[in-house]
Amino acid sequence: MTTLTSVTRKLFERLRDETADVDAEFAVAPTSLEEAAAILRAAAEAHIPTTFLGGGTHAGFGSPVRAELVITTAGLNRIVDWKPDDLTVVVQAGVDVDTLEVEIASRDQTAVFPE
Amino acid sequence: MDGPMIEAVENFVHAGLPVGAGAVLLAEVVGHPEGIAAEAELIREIARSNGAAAIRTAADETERALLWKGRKSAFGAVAQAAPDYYLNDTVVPRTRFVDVLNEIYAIADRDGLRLLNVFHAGDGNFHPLVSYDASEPGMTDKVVAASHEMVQVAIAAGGTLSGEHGIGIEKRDLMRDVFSTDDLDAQARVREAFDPAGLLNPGKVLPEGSRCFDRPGT
Repeated sequence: MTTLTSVTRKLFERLRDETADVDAEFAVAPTSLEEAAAILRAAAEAHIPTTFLGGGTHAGFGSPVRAELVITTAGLNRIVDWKPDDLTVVVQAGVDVDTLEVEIASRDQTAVFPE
Repeated sequence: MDGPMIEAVENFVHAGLPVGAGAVLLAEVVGHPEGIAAEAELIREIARSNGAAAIRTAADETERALLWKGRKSAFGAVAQAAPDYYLNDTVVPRTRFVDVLNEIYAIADRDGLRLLNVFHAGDGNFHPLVSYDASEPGMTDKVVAASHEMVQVAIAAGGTLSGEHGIGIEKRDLMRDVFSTDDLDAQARVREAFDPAGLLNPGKVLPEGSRCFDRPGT
């Protein structure tokens, strides 16, 4: 974790140096919780305005965000642990809702409140 | 409803509940008359194959209402046992329900406490209820300590701090049992973004010391 954070920190510094004279925006796609946490930690330490992007289906909601860093959840798309008999499912933040619903419908279950 | 609760409820409502049984499970089916007959039969079959001592189906609306009255009167009925009760709210994975129940009975036995339980067990909700007399010196502290231990049993079984009642001041300091230092710090940061001077319900939402970093820019 510490190594990951320091690598991420160096990466941010390099990107900032290289783009110092332009109005740049970065996007990163972590593929594990550890990566996501390291990126967020490094961004917080460097005071980089950050936002998250999932499927973008509700991207028009709320006030517009001006972020330099976009963390996409596309790489966090695993259904981690589904226990049908316990009525519990653990998923990563980027799991597509339809994919999840199709998967657990095989046991007549649903995880999503209707909008 | 567990055994002690059946006794308390039956004494109060006289619904013909089986006093002496280990537990009563109340199931209701809703829908078209033809459909519900088949569903009710399925429930009876499951009950039979799991060793139910007796199965009773409400014959009419009056009997259905009476069975529900028993369930809905449970919290009033416990007053017969003692003037006060302490109800806790948690939730456990359904497959761990029986283990957790046995563990909380063991805690109550150890401390000489009277436990009466009524749950909507189908979704894993778990509400241990300790009946006691708050006028006995030290009793409330003893009950609260045992109840917190019961919550910790539920957490250890893969459950969590609250099933549906929420956290409040009561469980604020138990949040450390389920949230890491980083989790609490992130929650405190969000709160701080809206309330930097700490004016909104100070000390109420998060345990003391949740914030573990210096504020950015200071």
